[in-house]
Parts: sequence; structure tokens; C-alpha cells
Amino acid sequence: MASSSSSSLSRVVVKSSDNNLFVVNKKVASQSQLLKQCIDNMEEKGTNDVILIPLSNVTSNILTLVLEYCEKHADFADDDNNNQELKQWDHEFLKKFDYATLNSLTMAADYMVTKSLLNLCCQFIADSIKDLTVQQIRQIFDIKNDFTPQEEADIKNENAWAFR
Amino acid sequence: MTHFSRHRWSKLPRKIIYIISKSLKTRQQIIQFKRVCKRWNKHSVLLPLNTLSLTLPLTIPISSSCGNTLPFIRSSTHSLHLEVSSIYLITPLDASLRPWMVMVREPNPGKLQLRHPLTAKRVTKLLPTLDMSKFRAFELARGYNFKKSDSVLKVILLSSSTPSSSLELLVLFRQGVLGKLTVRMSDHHHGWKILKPHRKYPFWFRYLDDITVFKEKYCCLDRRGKLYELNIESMKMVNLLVSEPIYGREAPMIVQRRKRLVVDPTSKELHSLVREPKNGNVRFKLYKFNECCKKWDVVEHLGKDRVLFGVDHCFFAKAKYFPGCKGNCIVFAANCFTQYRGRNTPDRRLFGDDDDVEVGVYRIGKGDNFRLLSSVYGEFSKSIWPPPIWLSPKSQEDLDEENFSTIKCHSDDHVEPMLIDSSDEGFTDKDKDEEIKLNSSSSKPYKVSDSNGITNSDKTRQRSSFNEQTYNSEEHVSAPPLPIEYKVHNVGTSKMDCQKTGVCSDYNKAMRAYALESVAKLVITLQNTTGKSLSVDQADDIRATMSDLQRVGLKVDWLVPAVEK
Repeated sequence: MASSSSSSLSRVVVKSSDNNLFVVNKKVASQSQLLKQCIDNMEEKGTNDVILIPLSNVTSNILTLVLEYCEKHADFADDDNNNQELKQWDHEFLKKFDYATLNSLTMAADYMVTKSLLNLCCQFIADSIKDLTVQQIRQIFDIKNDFTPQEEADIKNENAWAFR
Repeated sequence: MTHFSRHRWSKLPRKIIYIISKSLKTRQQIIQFKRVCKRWNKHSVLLPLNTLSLTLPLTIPISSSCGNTLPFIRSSTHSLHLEVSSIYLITPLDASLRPWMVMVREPNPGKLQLRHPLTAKRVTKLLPTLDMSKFRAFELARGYNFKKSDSVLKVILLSSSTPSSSLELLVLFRQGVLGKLTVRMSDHHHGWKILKPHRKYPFWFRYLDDITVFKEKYCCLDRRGKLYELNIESMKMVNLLVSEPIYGREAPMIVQRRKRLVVDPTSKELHSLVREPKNGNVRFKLYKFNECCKKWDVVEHLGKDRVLFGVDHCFFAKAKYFPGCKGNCIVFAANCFTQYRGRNTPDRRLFGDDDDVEVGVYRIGKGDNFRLLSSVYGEFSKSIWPPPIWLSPKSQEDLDEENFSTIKCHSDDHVEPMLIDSSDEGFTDKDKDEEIKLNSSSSKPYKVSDSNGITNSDKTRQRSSFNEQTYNSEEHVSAPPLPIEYKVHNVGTSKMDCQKTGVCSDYNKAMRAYALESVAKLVITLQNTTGKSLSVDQADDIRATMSDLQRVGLKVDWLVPAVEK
């Protein structure tokens, strides 16, 4: 039983929210804890069928990106985590996207429990907003200022140097 | 089910908001992040107390059981206290006020010290807080230092980003020895790895003068002026970058001075700065690292747009930051480029031996041309010292207000009582002028006051909104300073004219509360201590409070026997 299941499970099929199917290598899929969990569960049951994992929260264009990331990182999985080449690739990877895509990718990484991608996205977002003014951040992310003037002043007041 | 394709940043899951805010590097960035919207404010990380760095200050306990503490650190020290020591240029958004360059240290989280940017003389008279939204603070140079450790010349933080698992530091000791300190954050276990010169190694050196990061490499300069590349993992020199020394063997080591490495942030080039080993004269030589030919090139002219500051961590700055600065010069403090051995008497002669505020200026490539900065570039000198008027407790807007009595105030490290000005007149125009002059042009306006605590420059006026001021709370019970308006409204014996002080009733209540609080604290202190257990600080506080209360006319005679006891 064990031998037959291992061969049939070298690949899984992932379905996006807009009903596109993606055939994914098991090693690549394991980069996502969500997919890995599904695979592990099925393996325990000893099924011989091809596993189909529906992801109701991720559209196909975003899923393509997540899988691209997972593929690259699966290649480096046995390597040192601090690999310079991989870091460079990560940076270039995220640089291509607009903020809307970045938002969806971050949410997808969270949903699919791909921790390294989630952290990467969050760090990238943090780096890209760190030198912006509050107004600029609101404008870029289309966020409404919902503070009362008093509340805003209170937070602003934290920006003081205290001496002793 | 929700769809992720829509662009909804304000509705980000709280977990993602948290991770993004945790990825920010400075307090300022976190504040900006929190100001975006309520949701971001609520779910982001708590605002740290620390102002300059999210990880520092940090106390590293040195446990004696470790067995590998360094001989350079005094045996009496049980911990190393690492703090940030940065040079900032603070520019008021109000363009009529002058910018100021200042050294900012954070010995305790959230409590900053301001110091002379070059001599590190402490600025003691300042507002309790400075609202940084009214200023632009630009960090010119960031350094780190161990508190109360004279034996350390320079500290470089290797893993500065997040206080995750461990902290790594390079520490250059005064003896010219370099060590790497690794501290595990979980249990503060630490270990030293010392860079050991050894004749068997391919690159031999004896002592190091400086270390800096240049193009992501760690570059070390030895006493002869040779430049090496250090591998921080193995703590070994791996490359000889400049083999031709600045000084050959013939130069007498005894009169040589410690050289510095400095990277120009604009041109991204590495320089070495050498003060020539001549007694009595001041002559600097600046070299630029020629990477292709692996040698030092002499820099004849730095350029009008740049100025070099000579401190322990030398740094370049743009001349345009400083009004009246013509560039092409080195600004430095006395005894900064110390001789390896012996004292620096020539510096004392050049700078004068008073209160640590004078800095010298040397124009590059001009032979012996030492001058005191204040004597040649008055305007430029004012961006360094004295501290600007907008920082003193008597702020600009107070000058415009009327109907306030004059109060003399002496605030130092410890809270001290305010004293009544004997003149019952408000500020005259003449007074104002004197004040401004004292604050902006005199070379030493902040002299420590004489025994009765009154000097002219101590003169200040209380702000109408007294509650804005926060006072340093001591560990032991101490009396808050008594504002003088209390006296006016409570004590008929006052010589002051009530009409001169226009105070609102809220304010007055606050004064009463302060006075009563002082008395209460005094009584508590007296009850809790016997004559012997009274510490010197406490005794001083009591004395100060008593005299203060007496001044405002409260009868404290009934307390005297208790105090004397």
C-alpha cells in the first residue's frame, strides 16, 4: 500500500477559485503548509487517487505567482536559507508587482500558509512605505483617514524626544 | 467567501498588519504606520519606548562564570551597557530658526541625552520634551558605545535589524585590539572572539587604529596605515588592500596619532584621515583609497560642498547643511586625535582649557592653518554650540507673551527648585536682547551656576501652561519645583505684585497642588527615614524643598525639628 501511494502522490492538482487546474510537484506544493497538510492527510488515508485541492480564495493569476515562488524555493530547499542568489531572486520577484497584486499575493501567502512568502511580502511592503508620509501611504493604498483630529494628534504626540 | 483580487489595504487581516509593522525598523516608521488608519493603529505592534533604536539600549550582563571576559573591561563592571550615540542635524521647520547639530544618546529607553556633537559635553538646560513634528531630524552619523567604558574606541553592530536570536558586535579597544562579541538574546550568554595578530598569518599587523564598513566589507587600518579586509566569521584578515604604509618604520611611534577611516556617503569612497605627528602645529592629511592601484592617494582639496567632522566616528556632511560653512575643511575637537602615548598638551594650548565647547577647524591642503571655528566661521560655529534658543526651557513664544513675572530657574540633572527673581518687573526689551545674545553668541552661556543657583543665563520664564511640562521623577521621593505663581495667590506676605501675574485659576490650582504635594512628600520622607538612613540625595531634596516652601511664604518651622533629627 505504501509503495503504490508514494508513486501516485508525486503530484497534486490544485484548483483556483476561478476553476483553473494546476498540476503541482509534491515537493513544490510542500512549500505551502496548507497544501502539505492536505497531502499528508490523503497519504494517511492511503488513497491512490490523484489529489485535487480546491483553493476557493485564490485566483489563478495569483496562484501562478505563489507556485512560481514555491518552485524556486523548492529548488533551494536543501540549500542554506541565507542563499544570496535566492535573496536576490526574491527581491526581483516582488519588484514586478503593483500594490494590488502585492496585496492579493500577501493574502494568498497567508491563506496557503507559505510563511516565508508572507514574511517576504510584509518586509517588502514595510520597506516600500517606510520613507513615505502618512498622506502618501493613504493615497497609494486608497485608505481613508478615519481618525478624529484628537486621535490623530495623540498618535502624533508620540513623536517627541523626551530628555532627562 | 471573500476574494483576494480586490485592492483592500484598509481591511488587511490583523495578522498581516502586525507582521508588516513588525518589519519596520524605526520608531518613527512605526508612528507613521499607526497614523494611517484606526485599523492599522490597532493591530500594529505596540509603540516601543526606545527612541533611537528598537533594540538599544541593551544591558549585557557579564557573568564571571563565563571565564572569557576581557582584560580591557574593568573587573568591577558586571554588565556592559550598549547605547546608541548618534549625531543628528535638527532643522526647525520654521525657517527663521537655525539648525543644530547635536549628539543624541539614549542611556535609558525613551530618555535621551543631548551632547555637544564633537566634545560630548552634556546639554543640561533643555525642554522636557521636544515635539519632533516641528523639526526635521537627519541622522548624520550613527555610532554605538558602551556606557562608562573608556577602553572602547568603536563599536560596530553586525546584526542590528531585529532583536531576534543573537546580537553581534565588533569592538575596537583603545589598545588597538579588535574583538567580536556575540550575545545570545535568550539568556544573555556571550562570547568573545579576538582578532589575534600572528606572524604566521599571511597579513601581519600589530595594532589597529580603526575599522569601518566599506562596500559591505569590513576594512581595518593598522597603526602604520596599512589597510586590511577582515572576515568577521573567522575573525581573520583575509586581504591586504593597501600594503604601502602611510608611515614607514622611521616615523617615531611615540608622537603618532590614531588615524581614522571614513566613508564619504556621497562619493562612496573610503578615506583615511591622519593628523600629522607634529607637536605644536596642526596639520591633517586626508587620503583616498585607490582601489585599482591598492594605495592611498593624497586628497589636496575636499571640495566646497563637503565638510569632515573629526570625532571617534569620523563622518562627512554636506557643507550646505550648515549656514556659513564654506566646505573643504575638517572640524574637530581637542584631544580627539590622540597620541598613542603621552598627553595632548599642545591641544590644550590651541583650544584653551575651558569648558569643552571650542572646536577647531582645519582647511585641507593649506599647511598649518588651525583656527578656532568660532573665530573664523561664526555662523557655522553656531550650528554646533551653543544649543539653540528653541531648545532652552524659555522658548521662543514666551518672548512674545506679556504679563508674566520673571522667574529664575536652574534645572540641571536633578530637579531643583525655582528661585524668585528679586526684580518684580517683567522682561524689558533690554532683558530680551540680553537673553538672545546669551543664547546665541556667547561661547559659554551655560556655565554651571554659582552657589546660590542664580546666573543671568539661568533666567527663564514659566510657560503659562504649566501642565505641559513633565518632571523627572526620581526613584526616591523628591519635590517637584514650585512655580512662583503659587506664592502670589496664596501668600499675602509676598512682595510681588499680584497684578503682574495673569494666571488662570486652573493654573493656580495646579500650583497649590504642587506645593501641597511637596509638603506631603517631605513628610513621608521624614517619616520613612531615620537620621542615619537618609541618603545624601534625599537630604538635598529636603533642604531644597524646605527652602522653596519658605520662599513662597509657607510656614515650615514646624517641620524643622523633624528635619534636624
